[in-house]
Amino acid sequence: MASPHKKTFHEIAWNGIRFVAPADWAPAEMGTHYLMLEQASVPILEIKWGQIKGSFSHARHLQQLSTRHKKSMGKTIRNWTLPAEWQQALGSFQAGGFQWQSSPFSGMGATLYCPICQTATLIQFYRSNPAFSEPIASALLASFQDHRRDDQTLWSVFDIRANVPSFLKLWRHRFTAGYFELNFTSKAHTVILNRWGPASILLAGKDLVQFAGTVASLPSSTPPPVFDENLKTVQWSFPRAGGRWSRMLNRIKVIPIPQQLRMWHLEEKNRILSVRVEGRRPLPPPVFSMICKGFGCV
Amino acid sequence: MFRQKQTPVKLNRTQAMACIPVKGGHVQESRLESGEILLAYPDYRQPWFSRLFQRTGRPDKDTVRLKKLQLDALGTSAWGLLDGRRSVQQIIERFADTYSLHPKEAEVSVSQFLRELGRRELIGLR
Repeated sequence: MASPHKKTFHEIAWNGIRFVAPADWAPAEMGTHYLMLEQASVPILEIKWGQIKGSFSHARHLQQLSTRHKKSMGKTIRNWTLPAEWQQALGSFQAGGFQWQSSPFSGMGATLYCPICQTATLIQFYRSNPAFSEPIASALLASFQDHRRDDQTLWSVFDIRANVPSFLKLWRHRFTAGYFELNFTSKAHTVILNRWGPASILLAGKDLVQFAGTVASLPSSTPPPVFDENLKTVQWSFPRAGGRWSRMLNRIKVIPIPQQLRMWHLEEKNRILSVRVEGRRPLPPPVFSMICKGFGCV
Repeated sequence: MFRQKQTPVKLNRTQAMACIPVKGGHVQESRLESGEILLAYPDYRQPWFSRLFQRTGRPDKDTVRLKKLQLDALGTSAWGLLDGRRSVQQIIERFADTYSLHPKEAEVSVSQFLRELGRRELIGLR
């Protein structure tokens, strides 16, 4: 049985939840309130969560799950008493356990309810994966959190880590080899976080400004960018339309209006990061700076 | 004409990662001024097409054409790692180290690249 102390752990944070998992457990599927991790291309952990209204009952949720999964996947779910280590690890939650079986997989899990943020979470481990061990599961559960005290949301998957104000909600995401995108929206803004790599190849024969021109559709009236002192960061602030007529036209435009763009080169990580803001008006500069500061590579 | 297709050998992930990719002997490689590699390989026409030419008496001069594939910088680097000794797993690790890539990212890009080379019959797996 693998000991959790011998493994290297990394933090995973996605849309309000965060926990530590062994470094070789990587996200394979991500939804707004769903995460599936795999180890050596075999599923190992699945998490679903969401806020609920009214009271929470482990038995009722298990009953609902059981009916739904039996019909759709032939999955058998039954009640299971959580081991003492798990109960201790999940001290701040109302928790109940279950076991499930669905050929060729089987596993165990827990339903959690946090009375503070009223979030219900379902965590299930795939026992059929040889990398699963109860001490690792206990360590993971002990690190599990579903809310923060400040109004920020942490996003930490693969090698990116971003702190984003909670008013920005995840709209879409994309993780492909060489290109990551997290796209957030609020009533007035769209904020797009990008990560490109490897920078040594992407910046061969061109500088950051030229690279920005190829990946971001900059309007023809783009003002000259502002560089930081070591030329590793470049920033644009797009001017507001001058006349009344232009501003009215902007209001009815369907295409996004760029407001702010900051792009920087992390030489030691061989990555390029950018934060782009679109909308009818720019984000307040302190908020924009805070998002940029909170976005990095681990 | 209706020859039965060979069923591909199915490998699990561990087996696939342990395979050693070997460059095809029929592939000619040349380095361009940009440092990128250009691969040239013969493209054999379907045998039934050649037989049709023979029956109709038309000369079948260009049965074998030379196809070309230009690799980009990353492709060139990955191609350079195919030495007939390294396994797929070792190539992925080396590739990830060279470009400081996340292991999953390197695995996806290298395996896609090898699959494409295999589809064009430029490499074989040992």
